[in-house]
Amino acid sequence: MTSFNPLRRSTRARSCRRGLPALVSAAVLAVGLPSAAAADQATDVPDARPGASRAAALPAMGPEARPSPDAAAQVPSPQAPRPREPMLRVRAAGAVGLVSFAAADTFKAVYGSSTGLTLGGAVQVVHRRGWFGQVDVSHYQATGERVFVSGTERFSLGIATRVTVTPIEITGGYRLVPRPRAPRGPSPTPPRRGAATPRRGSRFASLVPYAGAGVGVVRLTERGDFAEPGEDVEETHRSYHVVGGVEIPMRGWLRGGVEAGYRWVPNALGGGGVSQEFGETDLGGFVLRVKAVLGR
Amino acid sequence: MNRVLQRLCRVLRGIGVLGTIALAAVGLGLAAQAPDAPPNRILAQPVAPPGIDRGVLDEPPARTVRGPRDGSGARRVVSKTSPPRSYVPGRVIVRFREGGAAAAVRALGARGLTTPRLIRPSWADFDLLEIDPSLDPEAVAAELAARPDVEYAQASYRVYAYFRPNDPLYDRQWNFQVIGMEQAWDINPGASSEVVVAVLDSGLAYRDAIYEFVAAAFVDNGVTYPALGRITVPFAAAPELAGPSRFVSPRDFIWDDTEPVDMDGHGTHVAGTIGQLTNNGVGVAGMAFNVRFMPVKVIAGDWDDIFGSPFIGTDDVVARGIRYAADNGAKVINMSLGRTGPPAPVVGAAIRYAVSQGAFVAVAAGNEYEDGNPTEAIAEEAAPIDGAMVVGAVGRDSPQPRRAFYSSVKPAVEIAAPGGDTRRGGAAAGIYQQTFDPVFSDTFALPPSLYRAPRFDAFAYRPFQGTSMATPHVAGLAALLYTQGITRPAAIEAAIKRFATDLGAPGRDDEYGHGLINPRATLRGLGLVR
Repeated sequence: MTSFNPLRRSTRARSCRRGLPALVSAAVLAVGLPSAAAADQATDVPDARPGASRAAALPAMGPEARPSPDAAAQVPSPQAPRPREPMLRVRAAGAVGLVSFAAADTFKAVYGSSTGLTLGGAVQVVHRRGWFGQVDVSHYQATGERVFVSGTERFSLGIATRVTVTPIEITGGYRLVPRPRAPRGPSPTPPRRGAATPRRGSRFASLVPYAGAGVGVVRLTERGDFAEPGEDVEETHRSYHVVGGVEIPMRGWLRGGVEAGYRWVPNALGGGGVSQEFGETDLGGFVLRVKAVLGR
Repeated sequence: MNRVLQRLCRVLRGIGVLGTIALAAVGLGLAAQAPDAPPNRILAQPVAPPGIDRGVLDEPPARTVRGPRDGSGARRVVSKTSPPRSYVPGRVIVRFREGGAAAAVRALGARGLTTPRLIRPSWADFDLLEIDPSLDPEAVAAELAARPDVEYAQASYRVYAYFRPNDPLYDRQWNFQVIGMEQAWDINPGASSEVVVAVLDSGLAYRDAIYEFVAAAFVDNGVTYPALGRITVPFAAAPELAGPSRFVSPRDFIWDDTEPVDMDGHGTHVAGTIGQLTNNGVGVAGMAFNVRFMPVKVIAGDWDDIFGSPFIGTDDVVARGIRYAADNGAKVINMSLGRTGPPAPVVGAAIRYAVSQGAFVAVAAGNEYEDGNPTEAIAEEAAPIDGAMVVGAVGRDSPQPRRAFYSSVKPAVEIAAPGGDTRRGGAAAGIYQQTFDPVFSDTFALPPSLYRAPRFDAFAYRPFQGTSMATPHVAGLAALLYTQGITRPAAIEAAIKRFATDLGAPGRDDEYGHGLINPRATLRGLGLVR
């Protein structure tokens, strides 16, 4: 006969809660970040001890600044000096996006739509003052049919063709550094009228807007059935872009983000094919991405 | 008494004359009232023995059909155009001898040109050596093959699912090889039976039958040929054209009935280029070998004249034929015909009508370049119409086809296709298709003492030349394009022009128009960049 064992149940729940932080730790280790022990502490404790989470999250990420296990348990007073952040933090991100190509007529003619999903990832280095640098890769692919275009008419020819667009981009930009949040719970003393008040509150108060610009290369391939040598396309073109977005802390080391950008890839198209018929030369376009960021 | 007899004789003579006149008048009236059953042609039997294939007839065209005559009968073997070398860049196939791989790779790497990488694919006893894409794989392969530790090395040549017809005389069809039809057939193997191609011509050898004709006497070059009276003439469907449901809505505007049998051979030859049965192990090939034909007879041949057909090929007859074809579902109309002289607005209007009904029209540019290069009336009408193309001819030349000596040069020429040029290459430089064996069909070309009734059931593969032979290449391509998805005549014309291989002066010119047709490129269309 099995009896109800609250202890065992509690253990199980605890190990589940530890699952995500463990993954985060592994990922962070992979990109050379400090041990996830602090994150583990931070995510496990905060509800019981308001402020502990913040205390564990904000301190430096370098090994030399790693908080002791006991640190998370300590409740710092609002007046206590914040531990100094590391100069640079390294973060990794994955993104799912939507691209809307500037060569809309060309993509619509061959691939049925000028928009499509992209998948990508990035590695980011963030300076404590908010400057950041980023290298990211994304990938778009589509399958369509070769066509003939006569005036405004498009005739599909039933010959399969596949395109991939793979931008590799370097971005430099600035993130607005969030002001420290006030600890949850009642203020020990009511603020004086007119005095600056630490922000309180919701997760949205921690939104981190950022903007940047950069350069890159875009790898374009197009392969069609019945191609003779030299007819398939494998080209690389220089690109330029601007980007802006916001991040929001989700849980521990995980942040979500939404990002919009515009990419220019001049003279990548227009030398032949449908793009020449439409006089479209830019392979760039508008990009909207939803990101998951690992790191602080 | 004598006077009485003399008067009686006069009266009888008068009655006789009057009676003869009256009978003649009645006969003429009957003839005028019954054009559907001209006494000069009677269908004696609706069946007949099948046609006889008498093989290749390598003579130079005995009479250049609808074009100038040409002499040289030298025979040349048609050389097959070999496809260009094509290999995957950045890769060489290598089989190393025991322990040879590392040394060979090191040797290549030491040249500093590449950082080679060996890949052993599954199901292989060889390696793929990845090299710098800028290197010539053939040169690298040759260098490797020379090493003692390499068993063999070769570039990674691409292999294609070539459709090469098994028709034994296909090798003679340089015309298809020069426009890359094998690669085009890979993309579109012969169009489909959904596409009906109307052949407006001298008729078509489309059925087995026996007809009776009345052959009147005639004079040719001052020589009188005797009347043969009522004769029985056998017809047969061309073995390389006929097939189940191959012919639809036949119409004869020369005899004004629905039996447009060919008595010339021109229409049968032209139809062969469009859609000769292909890959059947017999004879030659055609471009769009799955299409159905609509035989529309609008040209009277010599036998039609001898047999006294009620109509001959005139502008109005041609215009009616065009409208008939358009109204009966033709998607492509081939007009290997023309005339010089004043404009033919009635034909122009008919072509515009056909295009408006969704039919693409291919028209011959004319063969009179050396006869003063006169204005071709029907070509002039067709040229400005989007959806109708005027076709010039090129010969079999290397490395690049050149305008055939006869092909008209004028602004109306929109495109060029192989039409043959026996002056440069003899009979082998003509366009081979199946048509009548002239030994049996062109008996009027014999001396009067040997002149006899023709028969149109013996066939041979004969080399013809002319813009008449070039035009069906364009019609065949249009049928392929229609099947591929380009269904509007103006778009078919735009596509053919867009992908033509420029010849002569850069851009459009009066000799080649926009250039030589390029079926493969036209069928493959466009991607984003290429």
